[in-house]
Amino acid sequence: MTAAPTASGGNSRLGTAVRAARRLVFYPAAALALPTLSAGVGLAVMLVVVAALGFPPGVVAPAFIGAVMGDAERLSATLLLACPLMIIGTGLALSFRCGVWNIGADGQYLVGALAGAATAPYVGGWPSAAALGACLLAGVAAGGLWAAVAALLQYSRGVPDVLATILLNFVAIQVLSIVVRGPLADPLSADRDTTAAIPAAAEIPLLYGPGGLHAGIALAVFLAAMLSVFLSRTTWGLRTRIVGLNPIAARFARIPVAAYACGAFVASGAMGGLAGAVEVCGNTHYLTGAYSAGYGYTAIAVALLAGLRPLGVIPAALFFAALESGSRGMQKMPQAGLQDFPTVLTFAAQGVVLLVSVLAARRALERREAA
Amino acid sequence: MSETTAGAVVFSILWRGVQSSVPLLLAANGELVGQRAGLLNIGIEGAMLSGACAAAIMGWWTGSAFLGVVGGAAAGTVVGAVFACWTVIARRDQIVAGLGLNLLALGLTGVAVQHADAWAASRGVRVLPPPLAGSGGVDWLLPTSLGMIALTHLLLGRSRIGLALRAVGENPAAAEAAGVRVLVVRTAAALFASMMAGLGGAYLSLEIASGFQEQMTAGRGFLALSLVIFGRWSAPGVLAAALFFGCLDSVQVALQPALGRHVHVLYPALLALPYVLALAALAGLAGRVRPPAALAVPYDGA
Repeated sequence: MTAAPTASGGNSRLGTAVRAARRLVFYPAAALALPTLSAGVGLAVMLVVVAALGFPPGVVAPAFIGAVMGDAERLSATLLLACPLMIIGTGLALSFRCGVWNIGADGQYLVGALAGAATAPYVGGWPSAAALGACLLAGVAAGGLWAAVAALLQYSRGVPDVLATILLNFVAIQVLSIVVRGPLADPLSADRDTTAAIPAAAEIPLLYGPGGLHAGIALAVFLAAMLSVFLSRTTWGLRTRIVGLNPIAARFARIPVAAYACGAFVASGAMGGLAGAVEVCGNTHYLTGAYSAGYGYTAIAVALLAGLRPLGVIPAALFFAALESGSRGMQKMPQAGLQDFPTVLTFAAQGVVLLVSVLAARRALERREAA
Repeated sequence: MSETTAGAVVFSILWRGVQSSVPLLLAANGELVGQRAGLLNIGIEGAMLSGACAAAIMGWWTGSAFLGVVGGAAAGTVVGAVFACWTVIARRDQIVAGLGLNLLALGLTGVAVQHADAWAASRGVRVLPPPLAGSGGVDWLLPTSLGMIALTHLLLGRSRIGLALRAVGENPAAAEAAGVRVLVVRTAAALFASMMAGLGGAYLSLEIASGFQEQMTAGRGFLALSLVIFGRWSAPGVLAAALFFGCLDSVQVALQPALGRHVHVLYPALLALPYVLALAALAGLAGRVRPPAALAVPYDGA
């Protein structure tokens, strides 16, 4: 009983050393242990299934690593996939930290992409920075508005956030389909299921031409860093976290709980919309009727693997992007038998990561118990 | 068009509507029981998908539609068991666990069906659906689903089990004090809910689509989830909502040829309609109905 305070809080040199060791070694290690465990179990499950399907692990593993980062072009492909995951995941980290269950990032991403592609033809003659800015802002606004619908339903009508956002995802898929086949349809395309390419002025500048890697990845890292500063260094960020941890205490502290929750809701939707616009302006340059690749759902796994820490979103997004890019890249590998590698397995890995991280995290992710 | 053919068309649309409502009704029936016990299981979509996949594969392997249905129910129950372990026993967040199960089911069913196809091709067997066509069908699930919802209505309102279930969903601590074993009741409810979703999936792949495709549930599980709120957490309400959305589904299919030149724009609008209606109804209902008080709240024990 008497030793404990001396070791942890006393003035002795030993106490200082113990505290320093705890701050420098134990806390970071503890913070890394959980995501490492989750990611490891996800990978292991994927490997076991792949081996059970009859793919020799000795061939698959090196080919997979080669597909993720074998050369500059494969690495670019991986980073291209990480970009939307990172932007959406950063937004979701914010909303989950505030106790808002925005499951609708996929829909917000789609309407953002749609808004970006719809704006591009009108700004083709503008200087390129202005044209690009207009497209990205349109995406931000569309995603924010799409989330605002769910926020409005929750805070004025009491519709649970989870349900409102999930249902809006399915509406967004069809809205995209209507606009792509209707007003935005490329008259030259035979099946009327794609839009024309956006004008060059609205394209995001490339960082590495041969791989098609655009500057969106830098924006994604910057946004994650900004959110980290916002949450840990600003009053608004502190209040956001308090609302997420204990809305009742927040109310007693005279924090406008609904305003913060709505703000986080709309901001995360805006990030989803931004990711969609970045994808259109940077990567695909046109829309198709079936544009959703499930990034909005994968990004939930990204945010939770990151332990809802904004800076953790960066490696978490890279991890899931590597899984996806490795699976997709297998088809291009020269070794025989890898062409029918099941890319859909990455969803299973995402599910496992979600299940393991929520099981292992004791308190951090617990939902507000009474709002 | 003579009157008899018009009547026949309307009848066939209605009949197909009733058929389309069966998977929704089965899944929503399960979810109703789960939610009354305080479990908000969005993994119902994954349970339905697993049920559909397992039913198609089992039915095709054994050549028996009945064993297919058993397989579907079993797969759903397995998903429910994982959900129960995570949310009831380990008391983790229900939303995250449900999302994880959905993704896991999406991945594993995708792999399973690809693998089954490859296996069949290597032995010169025809791909999944046709062997099921001759196996007698599973139309008996339709009366079963109606019987189940009636039974659920009686049990929820008129039995000790139903009372215990509702008590667990409203105030688990009080229920525990009154001698109800909360964890047992919630585990049973989770298993039942996912088993019913698995049955719904089995009807989908064996009767409606005669075969399994990746992501074939296409949000029906989430729709079933909102049917429970729609039906105001009551069995007759859920039945009415399921029938309504089933008919909406068949009207969509029937209208498709009539859309003509604008089909590429109007058909997606029809596909979005159930979700828009669900949102509108939730917004209209909210405030006038109250969910179970302990919905989605983990029970930490006495």
